[in-house]
Amino acid sequence: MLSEVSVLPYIFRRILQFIPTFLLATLLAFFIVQLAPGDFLSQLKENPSVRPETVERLRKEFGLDQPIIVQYFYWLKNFVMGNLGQSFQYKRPVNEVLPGPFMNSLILVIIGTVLHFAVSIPVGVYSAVRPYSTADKTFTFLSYIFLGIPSFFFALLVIWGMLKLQQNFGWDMPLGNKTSSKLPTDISWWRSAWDVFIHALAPTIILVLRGISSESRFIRGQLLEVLGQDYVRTARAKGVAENQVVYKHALRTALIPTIAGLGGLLPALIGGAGFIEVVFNWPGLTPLQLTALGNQDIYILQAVTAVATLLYLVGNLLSDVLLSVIDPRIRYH
Amino acid sequence: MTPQGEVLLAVNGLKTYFNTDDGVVKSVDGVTFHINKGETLAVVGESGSGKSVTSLSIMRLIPMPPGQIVDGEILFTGKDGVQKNIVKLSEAEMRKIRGNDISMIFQEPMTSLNPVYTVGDQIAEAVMLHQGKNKKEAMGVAADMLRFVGIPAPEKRVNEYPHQMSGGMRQRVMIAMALSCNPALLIADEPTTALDVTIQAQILDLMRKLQRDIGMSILFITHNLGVVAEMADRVVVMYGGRVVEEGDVVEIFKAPRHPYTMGLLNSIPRPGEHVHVPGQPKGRLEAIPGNVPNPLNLPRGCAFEPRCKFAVEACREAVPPLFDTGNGHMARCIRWQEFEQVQQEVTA
Repeated sequence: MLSEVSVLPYIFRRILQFIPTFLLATLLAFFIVQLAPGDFLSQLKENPSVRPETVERLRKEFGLDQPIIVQYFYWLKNFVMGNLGQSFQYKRPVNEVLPGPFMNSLILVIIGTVLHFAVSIPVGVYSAVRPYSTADKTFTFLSYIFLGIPSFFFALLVIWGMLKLQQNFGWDMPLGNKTSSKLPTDISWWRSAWDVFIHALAPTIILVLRGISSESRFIRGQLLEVLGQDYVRTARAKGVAENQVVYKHALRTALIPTIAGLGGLLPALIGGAGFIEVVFNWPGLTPLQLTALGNQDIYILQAVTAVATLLYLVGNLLSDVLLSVIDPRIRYH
Repeated sequence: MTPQGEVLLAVNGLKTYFNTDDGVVKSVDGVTFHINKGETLAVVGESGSGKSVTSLSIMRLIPMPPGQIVDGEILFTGKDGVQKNIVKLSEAEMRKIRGNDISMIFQEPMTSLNPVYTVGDQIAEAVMLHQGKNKKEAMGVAADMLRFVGIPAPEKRVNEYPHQMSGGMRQRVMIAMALSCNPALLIADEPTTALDVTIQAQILDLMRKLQRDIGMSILFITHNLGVVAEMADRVVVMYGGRVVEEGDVVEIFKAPRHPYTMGLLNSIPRPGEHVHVPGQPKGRLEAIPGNVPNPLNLPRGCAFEPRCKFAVEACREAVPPLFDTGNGHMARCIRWQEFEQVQQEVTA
């Protein structure tokens, strides 16, 4: 296992290596966004009630008259100082606009990640221990269904089904939004947390179903392979009980690739929460991004890109460090 | 045949079959042999002869399904002195025997140890399971066992991982793990096949020394007759899932009574002292023609008949019985007496 002495300099070096990746990713994003013709002020220019001088003044104010590369370095300088810039459409700093939607997406992502592993590991293990059993075949069948249906369409199906339930049985499950509008304001914090939780449930489940489908099949395959390894036979020959053979000797090595993929999960879930947030009217990052895209609100888009890039880098580092903990053959120098 | 000494393990009419999509594979088809206390029995045969399946049947480690022990008994007298039929034991009773009364080491030391646990942890696991010791005591036993199998600096080595060791070292660890609970029987399934020749000799030396110290029996599975000559007291030769010859190691090497055994002996170079096979120039190194028969489609008669240069019409008709050729020597060949005659004439 990794000793603390060797891991700290390693982590420090990795964080230094973040810098060029981060610069390149954000620079690319900045250019790509501005490749689209026009800018935030193009609409104002078409508006006869706005004088051209005003537009020109605003353009100077927003720095849109500068070359793109200069604008990028302005943004970068502000970013380093902790200032994400000004949102054109909200007329407020991005620092104030972003946290709300970000936290909302995070709720989906955290519940989703927990659900992802809490379901796919047991299902994968169960299927691998009893391959080709009825349960295993059922899981396989369901996996293909969930992988086959596009998630936005599946979300609509679920909403339709929930509506039917509501109409016929009076089962009151929230169909969208983050909180109930009819909820009184003076309730305890856990009551409002519960309210958010049940609102998050349906979008989260739909969000992670695809991931669970592929991950559980993947874990099944990995574990099946490891269960055929010589060292598993050695464990059995020692007199180790079968559940210990599976959980202590086989599962740990079988999960190594899953841990390696953990780094991609954070940004993927934030990006992937995508249309589910739109379908369920969840005030997360995706609706924010979509309106920002339509309005060419570049600093909002740039901030989301920067956050996703950072998450990606941190997630990768996290899975590398976790890997070295779970697999002693991996050492970092 | 009356076995000399006390019988530790007796396999009687064991049949282990595998159900495959193409039909039933009779990997072990009516195998009978025994091992005395303190004795080394070598089971010899090519890949697919059923020798490994026999050993895994004794451990009850046949994957079921598709495998199944369909008939026969495996009588084993454990350290508690009670004779049990392994075929009939429950899984929980069997777990108490595995690693405790009967241990096993395998062909591939490189892959037989779990890569994510230290070798000390892996040895200590068996000790904790069977001797009720706590983790600290068990790690002490693990270090002692490593010293016992000749690993230098055992206190340091217990905390190392398998990938930090060479193949020979790992096989020593496997042996240390197998012997950590003082088993009555060690099953060694080709333990030296994957090792360099010099390391092979070291491991064989070690096993002989440990056997003297502990007094356990060894069931040695191999296709290497050189190793058999060095290790075994008695030999069982398997072909097509059946025992074709059994006897004392000197007898088998000097006076084989089955053409398959003769073929095996003639396919190893031993300058100057080749077994005389009737009708073959002396001292020639000969390969056995043909291939191991398809286990799904064994000949109706003697399984070796299609490759046998002595085959006659009668060989094709029925599976020959095991003939007692005297001195505890048995052979499954209807022409064994003719071989005996020719060999006596040559020696005379």
